[in-house]
Amino acid sequence: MSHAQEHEYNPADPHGFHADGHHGHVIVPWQILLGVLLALLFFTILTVFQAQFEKHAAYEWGWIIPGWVNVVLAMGIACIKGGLVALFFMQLRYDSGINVLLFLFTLFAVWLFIMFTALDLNSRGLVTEWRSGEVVSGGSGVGFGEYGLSQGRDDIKSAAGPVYMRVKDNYIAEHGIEDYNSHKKDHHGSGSELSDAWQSRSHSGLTPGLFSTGVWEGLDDGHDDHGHGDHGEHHDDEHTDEDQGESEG
Amino acid sequence: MASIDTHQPALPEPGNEKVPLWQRYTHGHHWRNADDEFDAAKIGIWLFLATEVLLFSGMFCAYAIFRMMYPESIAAGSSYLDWRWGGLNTVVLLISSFTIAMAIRNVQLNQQFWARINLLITWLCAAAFLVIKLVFEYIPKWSEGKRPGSLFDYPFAQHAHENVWWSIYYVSTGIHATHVIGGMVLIAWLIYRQGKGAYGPTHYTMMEGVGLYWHIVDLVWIFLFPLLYLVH
Repeated sequence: MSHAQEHEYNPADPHGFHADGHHGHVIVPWQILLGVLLALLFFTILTVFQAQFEKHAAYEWGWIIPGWVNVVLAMGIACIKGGLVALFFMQLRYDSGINVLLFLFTLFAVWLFIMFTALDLNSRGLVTEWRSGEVVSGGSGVGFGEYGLSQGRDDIKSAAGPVYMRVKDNYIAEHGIEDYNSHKKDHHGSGSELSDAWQSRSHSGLTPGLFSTGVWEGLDDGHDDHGHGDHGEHHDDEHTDEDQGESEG
Repeated sequence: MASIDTHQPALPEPGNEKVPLWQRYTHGHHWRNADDEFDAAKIGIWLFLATEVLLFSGMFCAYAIFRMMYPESIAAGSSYLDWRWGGLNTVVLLISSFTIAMAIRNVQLNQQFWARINLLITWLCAAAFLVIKLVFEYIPKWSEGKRPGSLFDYPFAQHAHENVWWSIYYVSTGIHATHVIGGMVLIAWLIYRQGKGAYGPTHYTMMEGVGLYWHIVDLVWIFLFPLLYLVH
């Protein structure tokens, strides 16, 4: 950027072909690079501490810190770290403005993607009442068999219901319920390994039957009326199973 | 890319065979000077990095969607991950980002020995990242049945959509790991060329480009780490 001013205009060589073009690239002092590394390591420790603190507070003291605090802090720290990397390691601080502009436009595009997605998903509650009957909750693997996505697994081809239920049923059929329950303890422990800090979140998800207070209450009710009865039956199974699971824990 | 690195005089002039490659380098004849060539190459790299950020933003967007739709499953899935492995990998990548920035500085100052050391550390950090990811995370989780989509085979799941969590986990970390592998190939190429004396104070375009790429790989992990391991 700056080298244009360093050389005086020469009418015999208007484009500076024969001028000495060295405008001197920036050599970042090693003290700055090392300082940035140390700052990055510090922020890594800080973000881990921040997340562990939320869990610890929930287990030991019963403080339920709202979920958004965790998200905002973790993402805020990540943005500071990302900024340090971009400014000093990637030298945007010293670089030509065009590269900075390029990067900012890209970030703007990323913001657009996520902002409009969030706007859509978070405003669906507004139309839940009259749309709920048309919504089919997906992602649980109910349809894998039907759509030929069973990956050669016969149990998925033949069985109905979400994949996590089928996997569990197969295990119990093979090893027995006692074995399942004893191993379940190994896997989930007494609760110390598995966080329940997510309880601080508002429960608006689509996982059927887990929370009766969610926005999607009434999902099952509207189901059969709108011709999606083939999915409705799985939801009833999950209701009973989840209820058991919650009373155990 | 090839023209940047191979744009050497066909034969060294008599008597200057000992002159290192980077000093014999001449910029492309269509450039006004070496700086214009360097700046243009750098804009090209930044354009490529922009597409990289957009690629990963698709991943982040999918994560945001799944998180908003199935918050319990994403929280449960996240709690299966051990922040210590993620944190260790973060430290490894941050150090490698520092060493490649130092390697570029070394080359700018013609400290060829230290440039080589820093490049080697960078490469080893990249390898360590992949080993940690594979041995302590992918393999144990996959063998327990914690797999994406219809491959899901973990009988102790607590929530209906944990397979969705594993889908976004494997895809986002997998694409990131693919970039680490790509970076290792590029850094190995730098080490090879640096050994031939190809980079020095007046010519290090290739190193600058690979360095920027490596920093973006680090940058993506800086966001993936809290999203996958810490935010629940």
